Amino acid sequence: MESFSTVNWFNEGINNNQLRGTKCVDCGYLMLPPRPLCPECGSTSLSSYNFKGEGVVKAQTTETVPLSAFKERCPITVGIIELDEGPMISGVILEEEKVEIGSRVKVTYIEEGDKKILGFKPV
Amino acid sequence: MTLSRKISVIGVGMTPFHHKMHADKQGRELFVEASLEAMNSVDNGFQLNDVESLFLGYFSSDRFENQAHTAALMADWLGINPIPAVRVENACASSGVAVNMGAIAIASGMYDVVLVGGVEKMRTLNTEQTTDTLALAADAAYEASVGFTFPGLYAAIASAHFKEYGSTWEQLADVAIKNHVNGALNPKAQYQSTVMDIATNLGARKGLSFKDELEFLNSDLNPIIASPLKLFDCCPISDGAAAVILAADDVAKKYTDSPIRLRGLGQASDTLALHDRKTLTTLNATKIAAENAYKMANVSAKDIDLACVHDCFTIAEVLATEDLGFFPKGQGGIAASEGRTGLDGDMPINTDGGLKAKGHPVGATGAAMVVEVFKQLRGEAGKHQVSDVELGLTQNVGAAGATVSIQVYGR
Repeated sequence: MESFSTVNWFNEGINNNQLRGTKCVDCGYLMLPPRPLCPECGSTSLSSYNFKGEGVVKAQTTETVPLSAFKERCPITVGIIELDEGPMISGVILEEEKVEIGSRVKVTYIEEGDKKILGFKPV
Repeated sequence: MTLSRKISVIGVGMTPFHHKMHADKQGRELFVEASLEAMNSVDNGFQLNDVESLFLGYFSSDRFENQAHTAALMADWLGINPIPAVRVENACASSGVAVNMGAIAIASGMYDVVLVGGVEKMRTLNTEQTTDTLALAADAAYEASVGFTFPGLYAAIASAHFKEYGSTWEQLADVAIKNHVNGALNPKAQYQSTVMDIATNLGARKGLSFKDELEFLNSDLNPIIASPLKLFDCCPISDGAAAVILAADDVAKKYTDSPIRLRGLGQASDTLALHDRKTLTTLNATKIAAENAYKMANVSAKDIDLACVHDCFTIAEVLATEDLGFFPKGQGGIAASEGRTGLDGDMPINTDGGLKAKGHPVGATGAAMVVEVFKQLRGEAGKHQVSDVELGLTQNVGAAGATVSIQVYGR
């Protein structure tokens, strides 16, 4: 298994301000997060692929009953973003008062203790 | 796909589902209580020793009770050792899947009589710990890691459904109102009161009065949990257990003259992460599992007279009634507002109050749906009995649709 197809590699990317995924060498399918095999054609021939991190909000919610790890950020807005390259991904949404479904957003990497988490804010 | 033997339900049982009354009991005691009720429900008598295998749904005994290996534990406590016992963990679909596994085990020819069911003892943890525990069923690396809770995931689905189909929160409120009407008629339900009863009682305590359900549901007494979903869009946290006895048809007739035939079953999986799907507004696993169950039963959606669907959130009932084919896509909310899913509607849904009012001890929920359909088909549902039920369906969903199990039952 390639080192770039793992959860750890994705998380390392977030900590280094990169949105890392994989691309299928055989069918061209883009995967975000990265995967060890292509869900479209089954190929394990993959290459690493960095996403630009811009896209459109497809779904969002503001939670008032958070996970314990997010208590300090409550209420927290989270959403599902469709990136310009195609895949969708979940992230925290910042400046949520300016964001609605259909809004264009870009990636931001949010400091959370000694690591970062994936977020998006209005373009 | 077909089952190589015909299979029937010969007995069912469940504890009341509740947030307080089982405080002094553990999961094992709840499952024994449900199993004994199932045993006693068999018309011509039944001994637990007649059971040849146990399939138990329990989502998170590990977190809730610091106990793993719960299938063998339940077999032990039921006194039915040394039969094989298997725990099924498919999130909130655990016991719906256990029913399917039990049926498949009988069809294999290995056993004639199988006990299936589930339990969840949830009220050992506080709300925050329970929110964390339920989120284990989402994608830990990519959903919970950015703060998605289960209410949050279904709220995201609702936001997309509103945008795509113009459905509204008021339609979701109608789902909750209807399920509380049904729950008020079910002696096993956690909330045996209508939304209006709750509005009146809560209002009296706060010195408020409400002219109708909607005014109450729009008030501060119904706070946002994950926008657009409010408290009354969410099922409660519950303790409870349910048990179902399955038997091969040739054996079933020894136990009862009125078995309920399992006509078809289906199960399907989808991506754990919601964002990995092609659509956010359809549970594809529901469509595929239903297609397979309908095909096996040789029926179509329009033949189903009544269904128990997985309304962990009000939006989930709307999705289910669309994805099962009862209403056109995008019109599940409208159908709920028109009263079509009520007890006297043309497609009664969650006649027992659903997860919303009956309660949702997650591992027990799929089996509890079978309890309701069994009683409806035998005309034994009491105050919430629907007339002329020939075919009933159960739809049990794990997480945000990563597992769906479905059964179609008839006489």
